[in-house]
Amino acid sequence: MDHYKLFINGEFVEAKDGKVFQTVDPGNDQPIATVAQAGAADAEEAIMAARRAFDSGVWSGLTPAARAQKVYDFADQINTQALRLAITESMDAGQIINFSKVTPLGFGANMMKDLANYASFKFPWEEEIKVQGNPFDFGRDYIRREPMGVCVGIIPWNFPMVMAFWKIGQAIIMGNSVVVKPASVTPLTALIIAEASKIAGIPKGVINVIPGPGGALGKVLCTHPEVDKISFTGSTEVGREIMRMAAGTVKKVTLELGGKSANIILDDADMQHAIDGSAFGTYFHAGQVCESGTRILVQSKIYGEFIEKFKKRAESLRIGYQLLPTTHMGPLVSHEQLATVDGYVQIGKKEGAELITGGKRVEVEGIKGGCYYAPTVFAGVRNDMRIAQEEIFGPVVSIIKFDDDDEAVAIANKSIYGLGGGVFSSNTARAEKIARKVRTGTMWINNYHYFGHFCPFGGYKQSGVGRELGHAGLEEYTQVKRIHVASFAHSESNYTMAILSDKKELPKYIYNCPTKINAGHGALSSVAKEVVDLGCARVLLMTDEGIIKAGLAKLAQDALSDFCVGVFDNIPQDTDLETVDAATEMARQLRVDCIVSVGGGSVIDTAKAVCVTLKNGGCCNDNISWARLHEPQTPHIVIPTTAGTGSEVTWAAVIKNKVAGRKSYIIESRLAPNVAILDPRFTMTLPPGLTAATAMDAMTHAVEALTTITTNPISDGHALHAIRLIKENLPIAVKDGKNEAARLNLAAASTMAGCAFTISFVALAHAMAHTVGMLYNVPHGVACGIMLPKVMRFNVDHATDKLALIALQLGVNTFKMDKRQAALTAADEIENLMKSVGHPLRLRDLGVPEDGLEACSMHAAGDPVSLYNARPVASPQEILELYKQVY
Amino acid sequence: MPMIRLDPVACKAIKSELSEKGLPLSVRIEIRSTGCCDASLGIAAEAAEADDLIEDADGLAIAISPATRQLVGDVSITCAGDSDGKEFFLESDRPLNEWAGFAPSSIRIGAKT
Repeated sequence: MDHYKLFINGEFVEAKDGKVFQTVDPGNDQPIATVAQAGAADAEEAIMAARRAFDSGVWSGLTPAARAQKVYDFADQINTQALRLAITESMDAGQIINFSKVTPLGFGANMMKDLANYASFKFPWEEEIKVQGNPFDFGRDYIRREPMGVCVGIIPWNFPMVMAFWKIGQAIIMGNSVVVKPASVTPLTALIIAEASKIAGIPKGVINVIPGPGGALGKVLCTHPEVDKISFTGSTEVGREIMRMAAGTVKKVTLELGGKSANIILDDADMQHAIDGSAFGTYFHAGQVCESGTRILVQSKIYGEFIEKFKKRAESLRIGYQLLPTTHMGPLVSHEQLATVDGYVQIGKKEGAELITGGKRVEVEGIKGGCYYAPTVFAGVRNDMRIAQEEIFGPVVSIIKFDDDDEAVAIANKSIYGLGGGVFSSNTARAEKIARKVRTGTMWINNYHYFGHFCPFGGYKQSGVGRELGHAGLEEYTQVKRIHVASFAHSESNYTMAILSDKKELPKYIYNCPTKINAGHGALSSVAKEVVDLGCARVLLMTDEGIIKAGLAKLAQDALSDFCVGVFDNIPQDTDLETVDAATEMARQLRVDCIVSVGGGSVIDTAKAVCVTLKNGGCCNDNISWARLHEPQTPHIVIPTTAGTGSEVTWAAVIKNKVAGRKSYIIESRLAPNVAILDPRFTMTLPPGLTAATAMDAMTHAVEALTTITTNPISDGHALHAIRLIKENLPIAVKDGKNEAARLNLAAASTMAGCAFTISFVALAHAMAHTVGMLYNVPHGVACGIMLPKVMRFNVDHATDKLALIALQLGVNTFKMDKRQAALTAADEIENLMKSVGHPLRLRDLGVPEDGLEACSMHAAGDPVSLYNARPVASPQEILELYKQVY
Repeated sequence: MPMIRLDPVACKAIKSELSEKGLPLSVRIEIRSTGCCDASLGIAAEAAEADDLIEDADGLAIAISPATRQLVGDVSITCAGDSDGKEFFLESDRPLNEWAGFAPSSIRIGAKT
């Protein structure tokens, strides 16, 4: 009789305590080999050998491609051993030779080669995270997938060779070391596979195989601190306990457990195919398959016919010794399993199910002994019977009648398991509809037991956790590591670290204002050339009714000539999600590849949102994001008709969400338009009040960009000159709206202020203006102007230098002033400017009730931009004081 | 030697659970499948069947079918340590499989109770 030894650290060895057990052929009850029986000491040695191999890097440190080359050699050795493996598997596990003979090549060597090749060429071992989802700090982030370490594979007796290929193959392909414990009744083929690995030169300790009792070895394997992952295939009861044990050292666990799968036969199924498929689905390997379709659900219309034909099919199966090529169904694995199966048949009879055929042991002619059982069919089964709920793991089928598809799904789902299942139908759409509703890991349509190396396998509910095979299966054998490389290796440049510091100003900056600016009288004419340069041909012109009436949209349309394929002009004063969605729909229908927006902030923001939604799909609400986009959006050219928002160059779009009752923001550097055309003719129709309000919006952008905690020298340059231009040109433009030079300078100031604040952000004045705008409809520019001087004074001791510089830009002679005094005069000068152009100065004049100020202060304190204020805002009370000052 | 060795703690726990559920103090040792491959011994809250072997343990009637007894031999029942008396280890002279005694099981409430 052959004798098999344990395989530990690359050597075949006897058990330390010398124990040996016999393995028996279930087809004739004859012993076929003796096997060294591993104990706790052997398990310890195997685990540590695996640990040493892993830590040495002799395997785990190879590249996936280098590992693949060795795995190919391993696979070749498996092919060399194919016949031995097949015969041994049949004798050890009772598998019919017609299946076991294809296993080494089909499910062993090919699986290993396929998955090693995938791991070598396609598996994402490293992945860049292009969008981190953290808008505060910057850096490179990437994912590294690394081997887990020491993996334990515990395999059952039904497919010992296939399971050994799965557990060993996937573990080592992904760079792990592995300790495999085969089932005690079927230990042989795993040891032959180990022999193949040794011949192939897989390094010592990478693969270890230790047959032995599950109860004793399981405790060691599942609690050992050097084991990183357990992959178990077997009973739910044992799997549950393994999970508990693994919890002690928090190991990764994947479990493939029991099943009681439903095979649904619809009334439109090809009857013969359904009969053959159902027989194969339940009687393959005598039903000792965890995903077998042992609950056959048959639609009432064909129930009688199905029973009659299925009975004949079951009775036609040839039961015999497993090595005979004529045998359809071999023995069960053991006499214990035989007793279990027969016990359930007795239970089924007592429960009132109708035994149609089988239900008895079978003696095979010419063989004494053996564990043979007849293919058994129960009809009239209720789904709550034990034979329909518990996994019998033998050739026993429960046939259950159903009336309609929904009932079939309900019955299928009424189980603690969810491993496999099938649908037989001539209508694929109908079958797929059912397949999607069944809560199970695999559903076959017009097929059963079909496996593939790239097809994941695993269970829902108590059928397990995790997956075997395919990308999902390989991923189970890896850890995910994220590596972050900070873009600024400096604590003061780290926004988050500043939480522990009193110094809130961030010295770092990334200046990214990519918008091309074409400015000057007649700049509009450049629009067609810009469309061409952007590689576009179909433009949607976006504007509003006011711009149409003023004739400005027509100017733009004419300049675009044939490139303009449509005009969307239904944009309200404060744009909203619905408006963006309507414009996007129109753009999609017209197959637009470029947006040209002509208008103020609302029009430009609508267009920005359309560009993002067109590019990324879905509706506007899907695309409300902050620092999520990592590639160019649909090209966008802006022709602003006001000089205030700076939206033609900024990264932001403000979109009202009417349902939520709030404004939503898209804040993305990729949102910046490609081209801004500043043609003074487009702002000359602005009335004086609106001219002043929009200019004060720009002024607030500039002043706040200078005084936030994220200010920087480049933004400062833009902001300071914007302040000077507004101071010098606003009074002229208010007095003479047709003064082109003043209009152009204000447009330039607005754009510069936009560049400044899109990098440096805005702060408390904006937080307060947003609030009264949202709650009391105070126009944004007006609200900004009113708040600005008070906030400047509030910040005087925290932004003294900058405010003093602002005073200089506003034309104040600060020569004899100290810096604080100069800073305060800047606020005075802003107020003087507003007075000179008739800009409102009090909230009471704009419909804000005095008793609403407290709520406003709470609201403003919660506005994120207040975080960027030079002086930290300690409480809503401070904001309330400021509101009172401007009331 | 009793054919069923019932640990006193386990006996108390079984009786307590049966009483909580208003069930008669009668259980049956059964072979039950617990999914994929291995069956195991379990306790069912069921009345004895006609040909069952029955043993009394401090007022608790424990039944086992002759076929099961023949297959597994004597059975010992202990309480699982951290289960609050809801789970039990069943071990037998001739284990049903290599995992016998590894995982605890709970009482199955049968339809015939």
